[in-house]
Amino acid sequence: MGGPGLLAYLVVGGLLFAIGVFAVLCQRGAVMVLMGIEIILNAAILNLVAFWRFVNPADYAGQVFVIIAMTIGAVEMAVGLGIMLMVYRVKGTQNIDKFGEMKE
Amino acid sequence: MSLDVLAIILIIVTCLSPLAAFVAISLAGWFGLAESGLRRLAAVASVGATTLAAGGSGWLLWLAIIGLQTQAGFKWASFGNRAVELSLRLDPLSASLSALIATVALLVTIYSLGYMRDDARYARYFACLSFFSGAMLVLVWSGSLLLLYMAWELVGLASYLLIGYYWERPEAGPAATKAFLITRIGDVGLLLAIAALFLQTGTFDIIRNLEAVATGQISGPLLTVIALLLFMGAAGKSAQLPFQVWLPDAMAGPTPVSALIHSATMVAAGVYLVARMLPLIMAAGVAAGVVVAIGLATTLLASCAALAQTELKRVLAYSTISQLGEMLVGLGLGGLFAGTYHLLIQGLFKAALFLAAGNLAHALGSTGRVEFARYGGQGRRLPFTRLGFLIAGLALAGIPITLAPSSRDPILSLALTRQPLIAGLLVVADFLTAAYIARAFLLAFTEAGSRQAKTIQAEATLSPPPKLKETKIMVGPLLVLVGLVIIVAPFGSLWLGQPFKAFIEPTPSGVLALPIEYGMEGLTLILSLGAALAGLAAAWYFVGLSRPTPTQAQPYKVSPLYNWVESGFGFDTLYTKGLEQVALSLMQAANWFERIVLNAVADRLAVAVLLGAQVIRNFDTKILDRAADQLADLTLGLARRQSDFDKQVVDQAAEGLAIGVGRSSRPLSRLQTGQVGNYLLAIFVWSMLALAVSLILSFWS
Repeated sequence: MGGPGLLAYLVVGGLLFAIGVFAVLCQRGAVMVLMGIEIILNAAILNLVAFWRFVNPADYAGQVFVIIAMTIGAVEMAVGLGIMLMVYRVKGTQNIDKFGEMKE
Repeated sequence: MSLDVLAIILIIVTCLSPLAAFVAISLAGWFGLAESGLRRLAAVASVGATTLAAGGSGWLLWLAIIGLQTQAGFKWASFGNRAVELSLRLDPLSASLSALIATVALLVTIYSLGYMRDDARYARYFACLSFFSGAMLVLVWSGSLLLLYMAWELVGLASYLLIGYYWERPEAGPAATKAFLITRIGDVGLLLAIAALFLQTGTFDIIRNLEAVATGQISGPLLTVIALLLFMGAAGKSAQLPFQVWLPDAMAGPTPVSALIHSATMVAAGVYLVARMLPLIMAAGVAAGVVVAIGLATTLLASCAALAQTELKRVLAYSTISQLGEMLVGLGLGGLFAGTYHLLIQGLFKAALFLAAGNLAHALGSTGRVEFARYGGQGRRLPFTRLGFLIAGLALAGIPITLAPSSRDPILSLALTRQPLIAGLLVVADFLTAAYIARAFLLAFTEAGSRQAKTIQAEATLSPPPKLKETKIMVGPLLVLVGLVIIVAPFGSLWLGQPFKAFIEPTPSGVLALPIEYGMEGLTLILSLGAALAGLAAAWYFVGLSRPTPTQAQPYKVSPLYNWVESGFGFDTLYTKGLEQVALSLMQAANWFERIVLNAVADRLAVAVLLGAQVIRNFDTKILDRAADQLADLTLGLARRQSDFDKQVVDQAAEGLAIGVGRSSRPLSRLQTGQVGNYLLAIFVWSMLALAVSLILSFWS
């Protein structure tokens, strides 16, 4: 097979996940939070495809699953950005600290 | 280095150089190169890249002529045991198409240096133009359907960007969207066809798919469906019925882009796809008939519409639609040579016609439109443009300007040997073609046109600029294109033994060969020449000789019939009205459903509820009330006794409990902050805790 082994993919996946969590927790911009979520999702997808490649490469269900997950991620982003756009129009800011409506 | 390797390297260079120019210009713009530097870079990069592409294409064409056919690819991805390969392929068809595309792209790019000189978004234009030609080159060189589809979509995207280039003009945005969406409808068909082929044969490779068809691996209704879906994609890109509505509107882009769209890129892609997949389409009997029928109907409708246009570029647009229809007739009859030859020659002279129209518009300082009513006859002040338009127009009309007769002759000859009815209709189309292009020439470039224009605009409010001049850099490419028509056309000419036919349709051997007989060459020549001359004569009689009289002050837009033909047989209105009608009937159906069904159900429900309520009321007054009275008496007695206990014991306890809960819940309620970040943090911490606990537990056991 050659190239990096499973562990390398998992390490990259773990790092991506950590970056994503950091972005989600520390960024104040709503769009940046959404991007953090997307990075977390991609970390999960990377793990998935790495396991497919190294554990059971003959079965392409893993690949199909990854493509479906990517599609869902894209749809989720579209919806998320749409919501953020509307929120921005109403409130004039995209700083999530300014959104307190979920209280009560 | 073997020739195969050389060929593949050349293909890669040819495809990638325009795309590299696009990337370079975009990056330079992105990093904020100064305006003058950016303009220089854009000009040098795109002209250099297209020159490289043209040189590479020429070399590859030579390699194909000396008999080289090769294919090279790599595995892009694999799904289980199915491999997805992307490959490049050199064969006569791809080599000749690429030569056309690269040549026209080079000349159009040079022409654009003059045409777009004063444009504010100069670099952006050249980046898009390079992207457009690069994507089209990838499309023709692709040996796998998947790569072809990717390039197909890139071509669509590039055309969207270029048609909508003047986005500040109100007509450009809708025209670009229309072109993109309508071709996209066809693309769905192409995608489905490719997916079906992949499911059946397990490969995207074009040649292996065609062999699978030839050996009968795919057959029957499925094959017909695949062929029809493929043709749907081709019809969308090549603006055939019922998708033809986008092309006339695509004039909203800059004129050099129109020249490119109408000759070598974009619309040629559809015809190329049909030519490439011809063995498949011919194997599915009905599909070939559909191709011929749609091509023929499109040809006739579009050439009638071209005869009625009042603007030079729209005449040419409808002309392209009709010529594409003829190519498809030729291909649908099985004539790879007939269709491809006309595709190539049409590409050259149609590009020349557009460049001439662009010259005229540029000299007049108009926004790309040359209305006959306003600018009629102005073209005669531009001698070289006029000469170029005349020669290219004669080539379109089918007059043998050099050693070559009409480039539609092989199609006609094929039709004559197969089905005289088709041949008859083609002769009618030939007549109309000669008539509309002669009319356009007379109106735009001769005295007759200015007479007409004067009668229409008796007040002469719009005096044209006093002196028109032609720019060298714009006349040059036009004349080169005209020269190329004269040089290249004889290669398909009967009088020289049709070397191009032997090149593109090699002697029947192998499973992919389509043995096709052309015949009745003499009759073909007489018919096509007769039709062309009759068309020219008719145009001369009705336009050239017309002496305006005061009563003739409004020769255009007189009858509703004329307006209907001029609007391209009202397809736009039909589609808009059709969609409105569909929406309207859906709404009516919903309304009816609500009124009849839902209201009836609601009425019944209300009556039932009312009846039930009466029953309950009777039950209530007669039985329950009496029982309640007695129960109340009983309760009163008990309550009196209990109230003492209540006041002393229960009240105290409840108060204490309430105070306790209130105190203890205050810190918890502070957790609900309404801040997304806090919630996310909580989710994250809790998941980590859960993970930790589960890990500890798993280690424990």
